[in-house]
Amino acid sequence: MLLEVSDLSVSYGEREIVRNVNVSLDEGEVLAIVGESGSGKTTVIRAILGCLPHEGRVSGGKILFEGKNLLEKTPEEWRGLCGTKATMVFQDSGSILDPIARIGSQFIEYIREHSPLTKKEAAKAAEDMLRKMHLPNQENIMKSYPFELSGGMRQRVGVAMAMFFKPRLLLADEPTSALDVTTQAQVVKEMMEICEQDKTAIIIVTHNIGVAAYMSDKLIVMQAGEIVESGRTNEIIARPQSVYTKELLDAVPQVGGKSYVS
Amino acid sequence: MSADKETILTIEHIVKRFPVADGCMLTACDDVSLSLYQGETLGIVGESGCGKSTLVKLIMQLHAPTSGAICYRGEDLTRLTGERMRQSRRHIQMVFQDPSQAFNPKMKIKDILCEPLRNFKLIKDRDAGKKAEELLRMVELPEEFADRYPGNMSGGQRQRIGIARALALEPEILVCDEATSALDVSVQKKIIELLVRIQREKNLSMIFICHDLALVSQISHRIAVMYLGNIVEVLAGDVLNEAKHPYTKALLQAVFPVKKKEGTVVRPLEGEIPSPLDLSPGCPFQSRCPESMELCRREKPVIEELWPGHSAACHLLKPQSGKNGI
Repeated sequence: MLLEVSDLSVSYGEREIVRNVNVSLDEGEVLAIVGESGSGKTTVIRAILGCLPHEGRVSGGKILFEGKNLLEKTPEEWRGLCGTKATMVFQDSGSILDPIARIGSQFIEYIREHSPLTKKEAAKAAEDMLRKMHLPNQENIMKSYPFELSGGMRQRVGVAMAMFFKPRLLLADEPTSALDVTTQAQVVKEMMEICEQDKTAIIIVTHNIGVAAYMSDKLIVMQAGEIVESGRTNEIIARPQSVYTKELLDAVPQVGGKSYVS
Repeated sequence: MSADKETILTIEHIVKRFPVADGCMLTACDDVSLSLYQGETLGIVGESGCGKSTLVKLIMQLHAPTSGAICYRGEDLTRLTGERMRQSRRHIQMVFQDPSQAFNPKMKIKDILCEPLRNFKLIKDRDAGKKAEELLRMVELPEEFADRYPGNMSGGQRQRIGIARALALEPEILVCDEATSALDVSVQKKIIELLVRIQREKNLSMIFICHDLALVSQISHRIAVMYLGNIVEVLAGDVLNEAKHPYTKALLQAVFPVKKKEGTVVRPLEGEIPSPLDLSPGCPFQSRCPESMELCRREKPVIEELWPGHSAACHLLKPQSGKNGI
């Protein structure tokens, strides 16, 4: 078992936002968390990576990563983990990049922070990683500022950076929500390809049920801070048990579905 | 199918170019022609940067077109000025994408709802409360909301306020620019049901801009697909699956279905949308089209009717009855 979260509760100040969440994940498995905004999906994965906002704290439960409880780790131990063994892709990678530094210098800085590579080696490795993501003109991207790239490109750079150290666990928070369908398909496919190569486990938080169904082996449906349903993705999609899951699946528009106007 | 319906708005060869730094021109809308029928929903889909929002702003007269005409009931809106232009705005109203930014946070809901009526001096102050309650009932919100502020409402409730405000003047055309994109799917469904109900009751015409193909196909009578400022295909909403244009087909293949069907492959469209600054001659889609031919690089295809109710701009597709009468 790569990751085991048991009875996790997270509070913001006095209010308990997430209650009794249990998640287990094997190596190379993909788990999707779906639910409405405010249901606590993002809070769960932020708690796992220890990056809750200031007022947030884990108020109960255990998070075991490779058999060790993350909640007992010292800040130094966290630093050795985040960015290499467990990484995160955000909704808009543009906002995690420094707007006034070139992509290349940020990528190199990130690599050298976590490894003994020289500047030259790091630059080469970064370019190779971008090539692995099927990004065109790698040298050009390395020389660009974040605002010079389109949203889709920035997101793919974000995924490339997150996947650089072949992490055991990739946490993705709405990685394709800000993208067009065509770009979304591209990012999803590239993410899956690289994770399969490196045997990386993924937890993806999304409100796009189609993406969740395509990517994941396991599915968790959350509502108001609690898990309402969890299990194998294809079973839940085919035979949803809870009322909420049924409503959620029913509300997703589909090409060729029932027309409202005719 | 729609030939017997009354045309309410026609967009004729609209071109919009924006000047950008160093003397270049950015072509946002390139010779767009469309018509909207009474009581119909026209969906407009396309990737970001394809000119959807510019087209909406042209219809709303927020931008003046470079050339072309927009006729509402036979009157060219783009030529109006002053008070006549202001009065013409009563007929076309808009619902915005982000309901958290569409309102003044310091105004009460009843003032927000009655502001359009006050602008046209259609309401007395003492009737405002009553009118606001009536509008709230129409969008299925409790009447007590009249004295609230937009800040303490949920996204779905705020979008209902946005719809109520747009309908206060009883317009004939409602333009929704990504009106449900910021909402959760379950809330989105309720807003769509509300819009469809109001449309039936008032015989309203709607222009629905959206990037979600599935949603557009379910609520539109007709769909126009835009790419790089051009309309590439127009077809009925319920036959979106039978689209013929390579771009529309590529868009459909990029959608992740919830329930996997046998033989459906999700295939991303390679490459990026070209820059609208330096348009090459020929078909706008040539750089990403899997079936691009030599002719596509030379000559830009014009939009032609393939059969009644379905038109496309592509050299691969020719109208069923050949031009030379074969």
